Amino acid sequence: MMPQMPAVPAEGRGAFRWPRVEVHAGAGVVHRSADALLVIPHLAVAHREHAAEMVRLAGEGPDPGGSRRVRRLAWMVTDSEPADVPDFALLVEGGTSLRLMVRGEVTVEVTGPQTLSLSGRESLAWVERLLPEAFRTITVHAPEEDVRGDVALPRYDLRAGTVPGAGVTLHGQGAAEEGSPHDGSGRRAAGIPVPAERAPEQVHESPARELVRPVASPQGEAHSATVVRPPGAVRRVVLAHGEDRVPAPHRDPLPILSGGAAGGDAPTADVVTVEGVVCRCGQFNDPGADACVVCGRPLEEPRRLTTRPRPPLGLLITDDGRVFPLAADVVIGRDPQQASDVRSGRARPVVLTDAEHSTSRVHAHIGLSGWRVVARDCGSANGTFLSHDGPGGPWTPLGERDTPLRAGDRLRLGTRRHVLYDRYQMARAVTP
Amino acid sequence: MTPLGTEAVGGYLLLREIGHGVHGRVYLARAESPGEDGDAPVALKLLDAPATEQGFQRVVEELRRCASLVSAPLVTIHEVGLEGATVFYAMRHHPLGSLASPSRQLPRQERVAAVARAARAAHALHEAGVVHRGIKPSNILMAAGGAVLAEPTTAHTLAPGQPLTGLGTRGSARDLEFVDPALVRGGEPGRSTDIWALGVTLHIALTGFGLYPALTSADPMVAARMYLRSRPEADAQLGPAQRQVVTAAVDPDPGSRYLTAEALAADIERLAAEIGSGS
Repeated sequence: MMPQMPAVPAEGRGAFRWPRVEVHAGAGVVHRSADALLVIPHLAVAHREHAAEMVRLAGEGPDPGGSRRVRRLAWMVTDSEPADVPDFALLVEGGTSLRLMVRGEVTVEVTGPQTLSLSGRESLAWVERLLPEAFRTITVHAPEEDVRGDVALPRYDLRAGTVPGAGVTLHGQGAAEEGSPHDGSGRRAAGIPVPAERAPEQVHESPARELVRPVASPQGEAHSATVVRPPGAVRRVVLAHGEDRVPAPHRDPLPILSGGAAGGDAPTADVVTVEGVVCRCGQFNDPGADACVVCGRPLEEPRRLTTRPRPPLGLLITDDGRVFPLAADVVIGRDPQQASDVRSGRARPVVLTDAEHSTSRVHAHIGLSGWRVVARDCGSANGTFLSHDGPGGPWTPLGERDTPLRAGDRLRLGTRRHVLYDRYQMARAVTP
Repeated sequence: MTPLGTEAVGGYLLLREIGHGVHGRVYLARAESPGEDGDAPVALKLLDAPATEQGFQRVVEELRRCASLVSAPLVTIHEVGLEGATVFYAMRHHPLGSLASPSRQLPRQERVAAVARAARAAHALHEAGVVHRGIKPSNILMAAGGAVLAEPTTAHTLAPGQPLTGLGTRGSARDLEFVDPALVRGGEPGRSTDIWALGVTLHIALTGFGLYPALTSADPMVAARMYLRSRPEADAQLGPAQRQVVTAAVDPDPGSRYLTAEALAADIERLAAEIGSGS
């Protein structure tokens, strides 16, 4: 790997000088190797393998100018299933400026003497360009930033320069002097140190230190970008050997009989309350039901309605055996993180991969409406089908309007993948 | 992905994967720079869900409660860390395996005694205000001095909207049986939900199979339907005392189960002693 970035001004050396790099918060990947910067703004489960390979490739050297790496990436894009390769931008040193390769829904905007906006969308394959030598900022981002999702970040060795992020902004001449929180020389990338600049290892820090902190834009106003902690720094809290002197805040023993863990949970989304009937056994029931779902006894007449938080309305079971509680709306597909409901936090993603791609990226939506569970197709290419009678069908196509689901209903997404909706229903035969 | 042996997280070199649960993976790992404990390998758990600073603090708090219970038969947690957005924790490695996959065939009495120790550990956690949320045979680790219970689940502190204890992002139909049906109906995790899981685990220790036998073999959708529609039945081959303990731990009404894991532990210890005396 290359040692530190050259400290002398670029003009004097005829080599590119890396400016300060800001990383935008997000669940994608930003990887910095000695002479290249790889940005994958949006990472889906299907991308993980190729993303890992791309990160490895980006750091390969020696390859001055990056032509070999660009060719290898081009080969990967050409040779792979399009849906398996994440959209990306690669910036690599090319003489006195940066060479850009961008593919898919990623936009690169250059400000300065020359204003430029490039996107992978402009090409069916990819766009390649030598960027202007002088620039104020270069921003790499996907159309919608701050993509949220369940995709676990691949476990790269972060000290090699990989951090989570949805995009980057490079602050070139002029911008660096105004806004750099560092020495102002513009030499040091505040966001990601190059590997040779490893931060001291195993930093013991006070627990209050933030993982990411917002930075001010060159204009001084807060914006969405964040500076990621130097990847070499590892937070650690030693618990064993009596070295941990910090007592955990006091918590009472769990109550006997009733549930209720005393805190510790992540802040939950807004609680939805519904009107229902409480059975003598204590279970909160759908007022439209004849009998209690737990004890099977008929619900008391007249029905006395109470408003309480809505319990989960059942389970979704995928044909590969995964189980999801229906406590909130769900979007199913190959890449449900793309759905606006998932990004906004209104729905949770359920990923169904499908080698034949008969399942769309955003295929079907399952919603909770009062005590009902409803499903609709999200304009998928191959349709969503509903069967009340098991895998044999008959299958009726679902429209883009909500259709109520009954316990035991199956959905088929495209031609292959199935999802079962079911809910807790204790047999009526118990305790007459 | 980087091959094992070269990949490092939090100052640990990952040697090989030794298990994966619904919320993360566990690796056999070695500290890159040996500390005072020498370079004994540890079990390093990496959580799937990316963590924010606040999420990490909640994980630390949960594990700190667990680590402070030094006299309970719980796995020793050396340290918790955060690298990037990845939460890792280093724990004592137990080479003898778990109750689910022990390194040698375990006699029945030893299996039952291991569940009793897990119940003791669960009780200690409950008294400290922690629900374990992940009790099952693969989380009961065999050790020379007696089994220990693995650390409590922490993933719920990172991702909201996962109210179903025991089922994470990779929750599978096979694991359903350890999930108290009361949770599926909207109940809160608490002592009774851990007691349910202990009851199912005890049944497996006694008989070798779970309370919903179809769960392990059938198509996952069929398995889930069975789970949602049937009442668990203890195996008919069990002795009356064994049957009674299992049944009282998995009563459909949480209020009719053992009130505390301690009471359940005492009864399981009695069962283990009876097996030992050959009666």
